Amino acid sequence: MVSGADNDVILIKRIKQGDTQAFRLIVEKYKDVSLTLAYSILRDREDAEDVLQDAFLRLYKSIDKFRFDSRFSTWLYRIVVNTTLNAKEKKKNNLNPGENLEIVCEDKGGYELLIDDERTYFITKALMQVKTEEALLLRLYYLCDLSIREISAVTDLTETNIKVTLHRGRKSMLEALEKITGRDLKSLL
Amino acid sequence: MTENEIKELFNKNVVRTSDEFTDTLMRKVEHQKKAKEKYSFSIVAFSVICLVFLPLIFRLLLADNIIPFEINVSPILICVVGSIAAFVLLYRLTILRAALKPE
Repeated sequence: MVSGADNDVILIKRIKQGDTQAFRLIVEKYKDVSLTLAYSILRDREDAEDVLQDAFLRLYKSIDKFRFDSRFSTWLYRIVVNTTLNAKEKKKNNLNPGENLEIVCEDKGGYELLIDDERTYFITKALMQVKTEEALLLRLYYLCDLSIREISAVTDLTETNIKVTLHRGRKSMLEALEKITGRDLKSLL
Repeated sequence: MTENEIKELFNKNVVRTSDEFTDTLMRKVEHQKKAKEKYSFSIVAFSVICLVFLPLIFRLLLADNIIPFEINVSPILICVVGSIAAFVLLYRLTILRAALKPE
């Protein structure tokens, strides 16, 4: 049986040979998790989707630079995080004087309309109350299943810094969840 | 809450892309691929023309004494190297232009 990582290697080799259908398979596999990462940083679903398009295009253009010396997912998430941080920086610079960044990052309600599940709504709300860096690291660790070392490769943060931020983020998220739901967290599972 | 339970929470909280996300992206990728192929063909054609005609022009320049100094290197070799350099330079420039060009 071919594992997920081995399957990625086969697909990347096909993309390098010019097979765009293999690229479509990679996009289908990673698009939702990547969008969740971009959303952690931008906190706006439409902006996150636009940035993700750019990130996948960057990945396609630079696929020849991938040398298989790390997991493909680590390399992809690094591109997604860097592209999103650059977009956020650009957006910050384009703000009118006096405009508050917090307003831009605020939950706009449009996203809420898309949520049909109460549990997902509570978790999203809780993560909105956690610092951007903490939410990003929590998602890289729990959702993307990256090790501390791999997160360090994605974010350029030191391993000690990541451990501390993860600990703080976990605590903040659970506190926020308890406040929002006002009930036992196990009921969310 | 255990680590596995937190992991489960995160896995149930994934933001989904819109339905047309992949198709839009694939259109952009196909456009990029075609642009690259088109430019690559143009550059190869231009380089071949350079390779054929540059030695003739160079010989004419030498014959008419327009170039006022002696060159010990074969004109053919100069033209071959010149054509390769032109190819690399043009390739880089046009790929860059294709990448910057909006869809």
